[in-house]
Amino acid sequence: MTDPVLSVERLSVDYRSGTERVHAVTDVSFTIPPGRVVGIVGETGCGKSTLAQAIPRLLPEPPAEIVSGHIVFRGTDLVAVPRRRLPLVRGTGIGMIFQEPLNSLNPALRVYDQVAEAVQIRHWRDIGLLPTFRGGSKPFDYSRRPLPETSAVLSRPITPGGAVAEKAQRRLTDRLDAREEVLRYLRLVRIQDPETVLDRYPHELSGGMRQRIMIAMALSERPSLLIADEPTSALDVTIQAQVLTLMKELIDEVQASILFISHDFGVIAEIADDLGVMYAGRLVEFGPVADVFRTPRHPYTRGLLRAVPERYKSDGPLEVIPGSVPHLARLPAGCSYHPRCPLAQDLCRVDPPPALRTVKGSAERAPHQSACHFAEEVGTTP
Amino acid sequence: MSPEPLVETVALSKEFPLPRTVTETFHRRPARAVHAVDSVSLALQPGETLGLIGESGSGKTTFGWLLSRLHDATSGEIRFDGQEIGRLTGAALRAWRRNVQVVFQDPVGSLDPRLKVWEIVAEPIRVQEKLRGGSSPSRGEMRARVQATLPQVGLPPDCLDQYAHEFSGGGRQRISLARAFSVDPRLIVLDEPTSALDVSVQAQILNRLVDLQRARGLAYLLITHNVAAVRFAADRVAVMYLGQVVEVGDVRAVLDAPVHPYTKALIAALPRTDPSRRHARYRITGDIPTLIDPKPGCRFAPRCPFAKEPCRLADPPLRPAPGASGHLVACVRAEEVGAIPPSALLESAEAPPTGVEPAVAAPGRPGSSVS
Amino acid sequence: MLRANPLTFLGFVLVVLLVVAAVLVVLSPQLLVPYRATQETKAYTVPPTLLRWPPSLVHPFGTDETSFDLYSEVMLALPLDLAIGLFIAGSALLLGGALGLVAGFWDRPGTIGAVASAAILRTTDVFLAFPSLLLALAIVAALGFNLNALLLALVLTWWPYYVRLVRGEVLAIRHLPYVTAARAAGVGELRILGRHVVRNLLEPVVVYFTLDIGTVLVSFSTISFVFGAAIAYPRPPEWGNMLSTFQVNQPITHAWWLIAFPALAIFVTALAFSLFGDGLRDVLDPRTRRALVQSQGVSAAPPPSELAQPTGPAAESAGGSGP
Repeated sequence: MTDPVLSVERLSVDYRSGTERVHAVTDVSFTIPPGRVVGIVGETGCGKSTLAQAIPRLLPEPPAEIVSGHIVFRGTDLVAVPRRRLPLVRGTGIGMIFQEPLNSLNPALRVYDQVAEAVQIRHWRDIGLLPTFRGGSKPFDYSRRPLPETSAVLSRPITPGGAVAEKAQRRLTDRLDAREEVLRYLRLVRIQDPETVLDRYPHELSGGMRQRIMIAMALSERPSLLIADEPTSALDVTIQAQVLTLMKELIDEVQASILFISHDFGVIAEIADDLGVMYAGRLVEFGPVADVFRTPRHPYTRGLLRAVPERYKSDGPLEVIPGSVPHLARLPAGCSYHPRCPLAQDLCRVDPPPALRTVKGSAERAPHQSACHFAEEVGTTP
Repeated sequence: MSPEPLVETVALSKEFPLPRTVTETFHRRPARAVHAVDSVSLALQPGETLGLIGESGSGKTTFGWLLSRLHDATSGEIRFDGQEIGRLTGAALRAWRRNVQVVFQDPVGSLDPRLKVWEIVAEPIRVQEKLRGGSSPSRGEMRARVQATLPQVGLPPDCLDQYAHEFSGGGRQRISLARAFSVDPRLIVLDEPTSALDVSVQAQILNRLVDLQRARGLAYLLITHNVAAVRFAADRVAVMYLGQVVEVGDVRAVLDAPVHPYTKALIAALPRTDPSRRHARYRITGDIPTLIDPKPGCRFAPRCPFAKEPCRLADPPLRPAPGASGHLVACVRAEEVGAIPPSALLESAEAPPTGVEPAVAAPGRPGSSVS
Repeated sequence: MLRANPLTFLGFVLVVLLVVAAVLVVLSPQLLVPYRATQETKAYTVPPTLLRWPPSLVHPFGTDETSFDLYSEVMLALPLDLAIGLFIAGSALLLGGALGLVAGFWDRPGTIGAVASAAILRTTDVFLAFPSLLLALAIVAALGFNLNALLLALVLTWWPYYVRLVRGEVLAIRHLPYVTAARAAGVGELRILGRHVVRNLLEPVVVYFTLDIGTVLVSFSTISFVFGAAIAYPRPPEWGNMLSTFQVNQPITHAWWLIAFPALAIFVTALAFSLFGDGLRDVLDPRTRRALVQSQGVSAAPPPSELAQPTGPAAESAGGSGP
């Protein structure tokens, strides 16, 4: 098996608010192999958005704080990257798509300027004007350029010539080329009639169109990982289907891995290869999406799948999970799901289950993992 | 349809005029208007749940507000219990309001942050008692009444003195329900009651709504974009697109065998919640157009893969669907396209399907792939 | 709960001290004001030899050019200055607030309310178009410098801000679902206004009001300062007025205390009300109020039950709703 694009190892993220510590993400581990779509599903306040933003280190620190763990992206531990070098990581390797595209686009810029900025930065990185991210075995190129000698600076002609002029000239022509490049990306996301869209402002576009532009911007960085945080939740159903169709088509074209965060089981079922379920900051189940849907190995997953009205079959009431999601600062002892769990036993009330372990009998190459003491029994008990 | 509907609207319309732009004023052109609801005629029987589904901009929320007299209609009639209530004003309107209550989508904004739970729930009771001319109940009496109501919506009776912000989203929505039920209305307009809630809580609220309806025999207008919730909770369903009802009928009939192409598109777009039966590519392209001064003709025609010339000429009337009673559809080609399953809109197609005539003899997948 | 924030606590203590001191000065001046003007001479009972003495133990703020004890003068001005601040800000609040309510709540196209609202807003715009201080100065100049003219001038320039503030809040609140829900329940318009709209805009308005008292005092002192030099003795006990006469009569280098202490009095009062207003914001809002109580370990209420577990404000932030 090839090296994973991203591997999150025992990641814990806290928020500090006053004297309280909110454990938004606790001991989460999973990997994303190249070209795969990993879905993370969970309810409000389960920490999935925090996880999405912690991976590219986008969380404001403080109040957020990565307490422990590693985020290894193409061989580099992002947790160890110093703060001032973070922009490098975010821009080159990891693309982000957010839920509300109206807020994620700058309302004062035309579509062209938004996309061109991303294209331009990528281009500057390509031609060496900006340092780029090199993953894998090679280290980051963080070496500061040596400062020129004072005498050299003083003797330099005031009007640029030689390499400097060439660079300026190159920038000028780059500007002209950006238009073609931007159009190319707009066509990539299947925007019909991209020339007219170029001169529009974000508020003049529909939600679906804005989300396409967000995707185009994320792709223009040619990321090897795309993090999509509820990308279709603000869209109408028919538009959501269009965007999902687009994303499925793009997976083959751009060869990026995707981390797809959603609260909607249906959307996840449509697009994900692997599925992780989060509850109260922990990843409670992880495995190939078909396995998780067919035989959930955590009572929470099972409860959620039964509560979804889309899967409602017979007459009678919907099955419900009693209670509500606990506050992340005041989690119950033992397994944090036990107060709502129909299968809870004395062990669950005292002993917190370990982080994910592979369920017995699941395939070795695509393990089905669960964080339940009784993972094997979940499939068999009603 | 039984002859005595609880509420009936006749060609109900609502336009929101836009402010005139400078050029319009200069050229003395009339101001344009958003046609949010465009001559909608629907009826609700006592004790039934009518689901109203549609995407944003379909006018479903505006229709709910018209029905509960929170907006005034531009034209058309609303008959409640056989009486025209569209022109009620003042105290008569306020007294009528006890019949129809509204539950809103936003569980945070729909509760006054300065009031305690019992004050929120007691407000409609107090107002309606006063309007009836009765003496306002005392504070203790009122608290007792509210306390008795709370368990019915699944709230603990000891939370009278808490504020709304101390509850989770589901808890807040329960307070909204308690407020709506407090005056024993005959119709509750549920405006996206579960859209802001998590899956597990959504199921709790939906169950509670169905239980309360069984116990009290009141009618619901369930406005939502969540087709699954309508399938679970509603008896009949109306599908709206750009201000018009395109299809209405029994829930199973409409959702399992949709006749109108838009309903098909909507059903086809729903995620499957089953990774083993994933969608092929979705074939409806284009965005939902604007509602400003729409052109005549079927509103869905620009996006419809089955559209032909007659579709663009005049608004299609709502008429009985072929071979089904009580199932109405607004499509001039209902006979030809009615039998096409929604899954026909999911096939992988290289060329954009607009304007193409693919479907009547759709090869490939029959309805088997749709549950 | 005020102690949750030390600055808030300081503001609260300062405001209480100032008010208590002002009341004492009026009721029993001998407690706080060692030297007072006698009824007959209107002069302060200090030996004339003490002209312009720097601060000392006997005269902690020093004495002025007519040998008055400066500390006594500053203290005597306290009740008047507080009353002026409260009166101007309060009148502006009542006038502007009422107009703002009308302009915000009844502004519905095609009704009389819309006409009234337009009239109110255009009038407000006219007033706001002038620099307020210049307008006040002009009014005082036209009416002649006396206390009534000053008060009138400041109230006239102050109310438009409250119209804007209150109208903005009303517009934001009146479309919230809970207002619509009250209407759907059959609640009358006036009751909606009082119970749902006013109650919810009270908090930002009261906070603005307390912050405003400091600003009013400074503006009042400025105008008083500009015209103050023209006043004959005995001058009215007012800080801005003191500043102005001292400043005209002495270069600051000769007797710094004459400028420093009245200015300090204005500063402390303005600061006290600002801090107080900031703290009031937290106390008035039931959401932060509960949070403040809880952060001190006092349990506000037992958690109701599993079904409706209360969640603090931190729960939302824990979701990490975006950068």
